Amino acid sequence: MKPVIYLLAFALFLSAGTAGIGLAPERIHFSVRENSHAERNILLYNLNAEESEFSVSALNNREFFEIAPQKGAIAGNGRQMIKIRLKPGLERGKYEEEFLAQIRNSQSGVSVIAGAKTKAYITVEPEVIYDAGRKRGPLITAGIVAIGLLIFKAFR
Amino acid sequence: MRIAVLGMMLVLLTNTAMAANVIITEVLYDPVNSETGGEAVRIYNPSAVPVDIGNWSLATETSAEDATIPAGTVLSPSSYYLIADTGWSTLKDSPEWPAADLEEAITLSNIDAGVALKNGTIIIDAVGWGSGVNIGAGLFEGNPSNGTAQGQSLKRRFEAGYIDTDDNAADFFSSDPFSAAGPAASTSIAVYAVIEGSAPAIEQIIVADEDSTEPGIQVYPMPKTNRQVMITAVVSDTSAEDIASVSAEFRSAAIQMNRTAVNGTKATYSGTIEVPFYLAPANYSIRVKATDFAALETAENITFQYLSLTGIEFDSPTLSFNALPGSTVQLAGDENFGSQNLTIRNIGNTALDFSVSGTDLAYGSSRISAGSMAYTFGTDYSDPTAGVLSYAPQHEDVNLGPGENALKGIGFKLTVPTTTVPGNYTGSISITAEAS
Repeated sequence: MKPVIYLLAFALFLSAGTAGIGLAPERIHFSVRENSHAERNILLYNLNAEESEFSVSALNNREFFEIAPQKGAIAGNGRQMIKIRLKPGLERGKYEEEFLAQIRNSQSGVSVIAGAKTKAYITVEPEVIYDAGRKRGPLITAGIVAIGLLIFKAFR
Repeated sequence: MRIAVLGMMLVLLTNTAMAANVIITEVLYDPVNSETGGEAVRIYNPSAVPVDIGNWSLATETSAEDATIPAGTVLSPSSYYLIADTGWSTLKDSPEWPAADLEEAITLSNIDAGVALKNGTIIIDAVGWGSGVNIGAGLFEGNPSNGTAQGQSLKRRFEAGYIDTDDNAADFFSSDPFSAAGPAASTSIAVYAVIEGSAPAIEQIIVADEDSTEPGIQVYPMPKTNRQVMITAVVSDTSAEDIASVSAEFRSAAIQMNRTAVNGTKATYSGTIEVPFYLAPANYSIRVKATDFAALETAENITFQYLSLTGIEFDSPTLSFNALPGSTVQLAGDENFGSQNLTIRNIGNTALDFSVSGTDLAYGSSRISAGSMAYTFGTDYSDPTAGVLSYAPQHEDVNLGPGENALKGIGFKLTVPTTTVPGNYTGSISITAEAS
């Protein structure tokens, strides 16, 4: 009896030539005060010969970041500047975030996805309080409260 | 150039570690009273000649031009200039401290930060504190200082003159603010010598800043392609025709710069330096040297930050499995870019790890689960960098270093369940590069 041959084909790469991605810089820093914002740039390279779709996303605290553009298409061997804006809202402290960029080379229903990450290091410092055009720090505010308490005690 | 000394020849014998140019001598970034109103930066002119510091600026982590010195400001020899936050006169920790020459809103972060004194794009001096990896480019020299306790300031060491070794950790220490550690502001009478014939002056060096959101000058690498970076210098002399040559030096390689424009006593020169794509991300200096026909020379540096780049490239245009239900097929990777086996090339300038994930393979309504496929960055599937494909990215410590030809093979093994319906199955695999 002749054996029956079954063929299963899985095409991982169908595009002609090479495929790849570049993302710079590998790390960015945000140093802001509470309730203020900051903006940084990252540069995304499409190393596919053909126009390719891309996407960029924050992996942990996406509600605190605006990414523009977040997705779109990059010409073959082209590049795209991505703006990342840290929105107000993070409490004081130090944070880390990761941004994932992916380039999808899609042909004949097969997706090839090359990705690269940029890490972000975020420092949020105490908020500045403005009063009549003069900036005052939180220690001043604490001092006013303390003086108020002393006066309250003295006149009880 | 003819040299005729009409006055007297002034010879300055200086220790190379002694500051000769305008320097930052003190930074108070963490005052007790108020972070906004109590911060200050003090600069000093240790030279024997007045220096026009008009339009010079302070760059901080917050802004590339956090404060700008008014045009026309001249800093006399042996004199200080104090730039302080708005409100300094009333909010400074001690009323005994000196009044500010300039009050303007500045933001000096308390943690891992720095400040640079700049003339246009040229960094004159910089002081950083904390961890260098977290401080913006151009905001520190050498190693950042260890920082200060609250209420203390970073002060430059003084031994007969201010010490400037271009290493903040060595040059600065924590001290009571504005205590005596350096010379008092000069009250001496300046004596000027009239000298005809002098070395050419480098008035400006320009390297394009490619990221305006960061202080200093940033240059982006390009994946697998060396960067050509243009450098422009404006050089002046008694007459521009007296300038014999201008050259640049980058990583021990000399680059001749060509004259592109002449305007009276000034001439503009341009040249191109080549930066390898795999060169480590760091601050790099370009030294520009101008020489006149009397062999008098002047040299100045410009520093730029070569940014980090994460980049990968795959070589195989097609990778296919031909398998029978119930069989296992392996496709080995290799380190031969351009072969039929899959190879990954690091085309950036940082060492890379990888995370791998994938989807099920689909043919109509039939599926082969992602878990049917294994991968390895090593020689076999028991390697520490081997794994089984899943929807969630799995991190593999590959540590593929950068280089002109940094290659790594990646192999795949597909085990087809016996119940699989024959057909052409498709899916996707994501390979994500991240810095090691």
